[in-house]
Amino acid sequence: MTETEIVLKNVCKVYDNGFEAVRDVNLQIRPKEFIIFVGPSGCGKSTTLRMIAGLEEISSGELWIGDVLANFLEPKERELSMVFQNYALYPNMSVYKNIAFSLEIRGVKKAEVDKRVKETAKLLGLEEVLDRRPKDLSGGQRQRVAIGNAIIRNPEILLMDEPLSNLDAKLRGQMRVELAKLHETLGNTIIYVTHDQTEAMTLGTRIVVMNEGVIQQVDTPERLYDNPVNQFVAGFIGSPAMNFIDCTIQRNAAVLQMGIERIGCNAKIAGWLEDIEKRSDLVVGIRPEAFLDEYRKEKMQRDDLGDDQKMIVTITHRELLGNEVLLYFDFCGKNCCMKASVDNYAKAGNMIPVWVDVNKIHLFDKETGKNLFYEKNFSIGKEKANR
Amino acid sequence: MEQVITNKKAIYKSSNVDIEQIRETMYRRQKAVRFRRTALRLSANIVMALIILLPLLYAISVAFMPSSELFTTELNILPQNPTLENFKQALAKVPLLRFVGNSFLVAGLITVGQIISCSLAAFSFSFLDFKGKNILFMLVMATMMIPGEATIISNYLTVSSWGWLDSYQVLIVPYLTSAMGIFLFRQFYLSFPISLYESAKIDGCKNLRFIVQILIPLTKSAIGAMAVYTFINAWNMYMWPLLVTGSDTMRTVQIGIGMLDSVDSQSITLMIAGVVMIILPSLSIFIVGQKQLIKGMFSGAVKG
Repeated sequence: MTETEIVLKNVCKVYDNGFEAVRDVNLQIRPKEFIIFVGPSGCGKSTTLRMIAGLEEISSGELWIGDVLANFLEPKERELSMVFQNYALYPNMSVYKNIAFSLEIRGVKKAEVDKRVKETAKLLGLEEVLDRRPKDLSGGQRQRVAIGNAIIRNPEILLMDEPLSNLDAKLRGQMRVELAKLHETLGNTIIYVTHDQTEAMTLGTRIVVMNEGVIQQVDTPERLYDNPVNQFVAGFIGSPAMNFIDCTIQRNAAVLQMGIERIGCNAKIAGWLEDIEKRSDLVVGIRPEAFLDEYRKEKMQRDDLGDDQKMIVTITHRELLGNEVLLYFDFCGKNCCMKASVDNYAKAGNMIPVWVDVNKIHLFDKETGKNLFYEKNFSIGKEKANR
Repeated sequence: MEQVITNKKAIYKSSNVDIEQIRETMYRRQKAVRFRRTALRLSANIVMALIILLPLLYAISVAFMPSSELFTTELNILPQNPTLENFKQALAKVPLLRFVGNSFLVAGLITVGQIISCSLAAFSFSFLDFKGKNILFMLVMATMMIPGEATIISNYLTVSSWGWLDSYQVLIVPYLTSAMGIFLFRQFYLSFPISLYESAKIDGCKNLRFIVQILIPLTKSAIGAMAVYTFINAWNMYMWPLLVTGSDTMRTVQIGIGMLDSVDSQSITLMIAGVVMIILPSLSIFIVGQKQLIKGMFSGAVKG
């Protein structure tokens, strides 16, 4: 149903006190996308959303909704709806009234309103509670009512501002699944703000990572994870976070020197390294699952990893997550985390061999934070996609 | 922990004490303690209330005394020969009922007017964004610093030049809004979740509809508090009505009471009978609205 495209061109937000909340945002949101704004608190993601909604003035730049310049439209005229973090239900009205409110304002006939409310309630499993007041509902139900209020108008664009952050972990998981289903059923564009990278990874068709008011990277969850554009994105996406270790590459040697530890590279990485200026101020990024213990190495049949990629580490802490184990160890002065097999019974104080999966390492410029492998990985990603 | 429990069981077993019985006595003891505490608190409160209310209660008692009983060397707390004569005389001497009616009309209209004007002004000060909002609000607040007495002469000259003297509008119109009311409502609205307003805006709700359908139902306690506060203030107005009204038909009740006092025949019992009569309406308003008043004052001030 949705054909409306949203385009943000050089959108900025500067507050009266001179604080730049959002700087030069350029973004094209295609119809039916589930796009997620993610970033640490204060990164400008909510502000961007509120500018799209019309709750916040756009300081400079252009916002196009469809083929209309929407900068100066009232929120009502933008024909979008929004779900708020704290639900924003009207406490003095019943659930039914809450859901029906926006239709009633638009003067829709009673019978039609009734039909639509019933449909929406059915879709969200709220039929039983239509007569109740919001205060008599559980957190999950309240959230559903808020969503009901937003979707009853069948808006082409649905904005969500951290809608799940007030729910407990279990409910959040459930609602996440339901939101994904809802997006499939309704087929509208959803712009979703969260600081939770799990939500971002599981829900989004594309993710916008923001930091300090600037868009860092816009990409699919997969590509964002495999090929972050800079150190910030790499550290933000993924849990537990990527390990960053200072390193040096030496002239004429396909070796990453990390403190006293040396990791040998395979042919592919060695080839990539050749194009990079040899210097000492680099940071290597290794995801927890790119460290392999002997059990996982065997299971994955990674015989290509030899002594060159092996190191001996001393475990400082062990966390059992059920189906896997997180092991922490000190490495080059950094406390690193690795995912290990549950068969690995290493405890704090034990010394175990660990292999680094060199295919999955990232190399960053320490000063600018840029991912030096980004271009290389990007072309590989393209090849993959083409196949 | 387990160790302790087993120990206790052992004690019970060894001394052959019935656990049920112990529980029963403990329960009774606890109940007695609670009862004693409540009684103590209650009696202390009653004593304090009596001390504070003493002048008022004495006034009621005096209102029922013949004046001969008041002017003796003995201390008569309660009337020996209760009489309604004072009330009758007070009603006969001045048209007190008319004054009460006037006061009700004036205070009622002022209350309604203030609630409407103050809530609308407070709405724009707390929800809307416009240039000079803070300066304007500061100006409004600054008017609170000027005592009413300082402007009363110029106000008098203004209304008299309009020919408004001795009319209802002169009693009502100057008091249709108040900085205090705007401040009170604004403080209350500041604690109101802004996302409700934003949500309504996205739903397509106009400001006025938002006020009527959402804001007012949700701020009933603030309105109640404001209503009680304003009504009592308006009821107790003295200076302004004294200045601008001249005839018996327009006088309010506070002036009327003043009329009971005359230099030639001063009767304290008569005056007090009048006072007791006019206290009743404002007292009853307070009793009806006290819950709202306290709730409103607190939730507005503390949270905001």
